Amino acid sequence: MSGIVQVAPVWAVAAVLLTVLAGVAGAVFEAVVQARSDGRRGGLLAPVAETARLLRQPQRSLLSADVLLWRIGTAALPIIAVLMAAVLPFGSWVIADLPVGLVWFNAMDVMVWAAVWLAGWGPNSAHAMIGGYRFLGLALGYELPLMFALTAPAVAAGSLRMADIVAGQETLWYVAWMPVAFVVFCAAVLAFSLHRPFDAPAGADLGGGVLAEAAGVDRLLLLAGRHMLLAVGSGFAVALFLGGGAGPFLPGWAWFLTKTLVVLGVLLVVRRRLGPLRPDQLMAPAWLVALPAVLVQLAVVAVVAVARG
Amino acid sequence: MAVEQDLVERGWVPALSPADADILCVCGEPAADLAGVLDRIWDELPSPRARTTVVAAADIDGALTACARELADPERQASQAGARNNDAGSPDSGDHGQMDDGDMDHSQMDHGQMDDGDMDHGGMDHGGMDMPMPDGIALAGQGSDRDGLDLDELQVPLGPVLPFWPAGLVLRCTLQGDVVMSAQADWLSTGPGAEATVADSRAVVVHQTDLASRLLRLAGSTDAAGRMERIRNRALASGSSAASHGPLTAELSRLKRSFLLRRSLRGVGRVGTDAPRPEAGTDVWDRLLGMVEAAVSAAAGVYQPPSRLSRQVDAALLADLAAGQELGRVRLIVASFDLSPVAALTAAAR
Repeated sequence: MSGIVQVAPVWAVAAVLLTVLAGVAGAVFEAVVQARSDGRRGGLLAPVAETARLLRQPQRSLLSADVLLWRIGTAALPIIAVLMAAVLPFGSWVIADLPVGLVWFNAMDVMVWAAVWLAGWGPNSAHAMIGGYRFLGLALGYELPLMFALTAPAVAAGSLRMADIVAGQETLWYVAWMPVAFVVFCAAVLAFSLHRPFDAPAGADLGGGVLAEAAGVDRLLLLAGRHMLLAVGSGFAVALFLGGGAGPFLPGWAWFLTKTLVVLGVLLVVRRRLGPLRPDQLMAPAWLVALPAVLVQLAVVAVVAVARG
Repeated sequence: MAVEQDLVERGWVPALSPADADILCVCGEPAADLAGVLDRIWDELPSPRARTTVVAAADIDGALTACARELADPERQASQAGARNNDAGSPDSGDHGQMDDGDMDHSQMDHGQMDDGDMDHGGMDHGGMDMPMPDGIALAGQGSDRDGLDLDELQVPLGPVLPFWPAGLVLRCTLQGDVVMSAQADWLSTGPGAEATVADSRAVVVHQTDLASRLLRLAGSTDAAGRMERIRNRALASGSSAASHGPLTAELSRLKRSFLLRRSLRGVGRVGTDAPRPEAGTDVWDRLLGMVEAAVSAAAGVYQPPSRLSRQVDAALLADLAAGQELGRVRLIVASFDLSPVAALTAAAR
């Protein structure tokens, strides 16, 4: 599994498609589960039908809307997801083997702050803006634990390069000795993709919050962006903690894809069991429980890393 | 409620905001106040769109099918879109100043289709300021927040039509960020509703499960809310409440076991113990359990006619509980009271 190679830039097209498809897979899975819980069959085509419906609608604007910033915020979510995917090793291939790949990922996830805030600010609507406020409130809670959770695999691998982190798990997957960092990371993936229990910014009590004013292609981009972020986040969970493409018999990419879809499915199922967290409910558990826990985890990893030389 | 049931059968989803809606389905004939609000909501629906009004439950299926056909008809949509461009200079013009929104309450007005209309948007109507205003919208005022910092204040009306909101209630809020600094509650007349007569046990089951499902939706317990709605729909369809006793009891014990839900609702909107009200001393969690318990005992044949204090008392209590709370908590608090006109009980039975 060592020897992750950087492929020609033209493969970025495939990476974009794959990110979109992974997002669609998540959306389809969610729709099917939702349909079953409503006592209906089907749901398989619901995301396709929704896409068709949204593409028929004209773009919508409101009086005094900050259209430029609104559109930027809306379009940013899927773009951020794709930019994250650029440094993600897909089996033994990666689009951009940056020496600071992990920092790149972190920078992209912080961009989500700006994107969601702009999407809330832009339409000049109180509900959307409160959605934006709420996201910042949540972000304040989850971001620090996320950063320290990211640090653990980097310390263990002694590198910020994604390829080195994957290679560092040849003997033992990081999840085995960094379970706390893994769990915190998965929670943060749900958070930066605005999924339960971190979906208060798009909550029903705000009429959809940051989604409240979005119609047509804007809404499509926001919804697609959420699903793509969740899918890419699952991919990073695999690369950082679950050995990347490591596995017997099958080629690396197949293992990577399988694990990613499993993580994605598990996250989607787990989130259904949870209620939404209001931002004021997140701070205490995030900073008083998750943050110290992940710091202890990091200390353990650091000691082990030093001991191994 | 029958509309909601029809939506579920069609696999359509209620929309949370007008922007997400294709169909505006108004249940019952709205009074003048509300009709104006509904027209503004209608203006906010993106094309293609369709609007319908249903008065009797028997008409729902036909009305929604007609809406679906209208949505799929490019010529009608094109002519409608053309008319829309002619009569408005700028998109959505005019009413952002006061707009507000959209839809649903179950007893009288509500929504339609593949999502449907509802919700609001807090238009900001900062009344009464005389500075130059961009596009006719006043700038935010300022005021001290809880920590004494000077922050922008927005005047945002919640209601009269919002998802999971009692029909006709308007809560005029002063918001700083997502915190409601002060609020004042009013009612719009929602339309000629039948005055309360004696409700039967099935109507009580339907009414209480409806209230509980709305509160659960707001609290984010989508699955529990869905189960509650199915119980409600079955009671509505079957004509008797006895069959819902079993599922309701199961649901009640399931609720009591749900640690996360209890944790998020405990202590929210606690009414002072000295308040001269039946809800004295309860919080949102207690009141949620109270709704389900009322439904359980009604299903067993034991129910009391609704005893409700005057709306003025409700308004004062709501304003008091809402002050200083985060908006999401305010929504939970409002949903935890039975604020529907007593007429809703008979409406439910229709």
